[in-house]
Amino acid sequence: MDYLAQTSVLLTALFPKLLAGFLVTLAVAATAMPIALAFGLLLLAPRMERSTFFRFPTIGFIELLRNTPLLVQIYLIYFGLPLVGLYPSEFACGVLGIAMQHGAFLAETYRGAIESIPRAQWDAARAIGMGRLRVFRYVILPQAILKILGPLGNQLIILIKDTSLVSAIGVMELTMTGKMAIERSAASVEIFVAIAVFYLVLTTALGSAVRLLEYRTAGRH
Amino acid sequence: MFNVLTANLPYLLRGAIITLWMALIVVTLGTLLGVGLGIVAAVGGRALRALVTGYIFILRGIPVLVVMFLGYYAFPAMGYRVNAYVAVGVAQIIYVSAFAAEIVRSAILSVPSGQIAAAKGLGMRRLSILSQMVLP
Repeated sequence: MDYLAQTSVLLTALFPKLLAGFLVTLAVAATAMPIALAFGLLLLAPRMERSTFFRFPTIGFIELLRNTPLLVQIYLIYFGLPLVGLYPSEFACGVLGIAMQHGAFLAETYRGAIESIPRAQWDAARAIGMGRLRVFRYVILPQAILKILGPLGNQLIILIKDTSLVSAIGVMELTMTGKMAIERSAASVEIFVAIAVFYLVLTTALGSAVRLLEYRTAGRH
Repeated sequence: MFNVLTANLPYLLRGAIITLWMALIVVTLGTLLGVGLGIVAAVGGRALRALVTGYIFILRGIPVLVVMFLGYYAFPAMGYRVNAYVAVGVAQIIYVSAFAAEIVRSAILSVPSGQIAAAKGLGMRRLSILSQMVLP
């Protein structure tokens, strides 16, 4: 059998396993995404508070999360929580780690979008008698949402790629499946090219969806 | 619990120094390669441009970890024996270069095309337009 036929036989045989790994990757990403989005919102309020009492600790926390490698954070959660008597699954630890770091990045993304709306609009809306919350809800938020789509999409694509790191604590997702398959078959490059294609499909799909959304909301600024 | 840390401090320090060195080398070479590729992606001929755009698209769409594994396994598969540091370092340089290239490309394309047309009108050559007008 020549090389191509051999490789295709191997990859066809492996396909169900890789697909299962792909689904786990999808599950990690799909669980981590809403948690990260919500966690970012949670950090946003104290981050934008005027009093330093809440703001400084929040800045410290966000910077701590942003400036240490995700892999280290995942290890800290995975090996640290048992020390305080909690034994979550590998999946939960991985999702928690990803959601926390990406939540911190997202908080900064949200803040950037909100602060990009000129301050004069706040003052104007306040002057016509709107309360702070109503200004935020009806004036700032609709504009900020339009501005945030691009950066938000980028961050979520990075999140998908970062799910590969949970392989380090033994979650059987795509990358881990590949590592195992290599140990059994000794065909290394071929398997990882296949895995790269899986990831590429996922990130390209999300990227196109975001671009479509941006396109459809364009002109509504 | 923490005397574990003091006992292992020399090892952790050695690891930190390796991290520092790898970061320095990867960032320097990755950025240099990326700037070159970015320029090609912005102003190169059609075939070259498509090639570099594909390179950027693929590398930006897959995790670093996968790129590092590919690098680690690709060298032996091509018949070269290199140590893990070199293999992973090269993989990371390639990865960084794709991101740097995308930044450089979009920065170059953000220079209004009217300026380039004006410079051509003044009789400047492509290379001197690039080095004296667009890059600054």
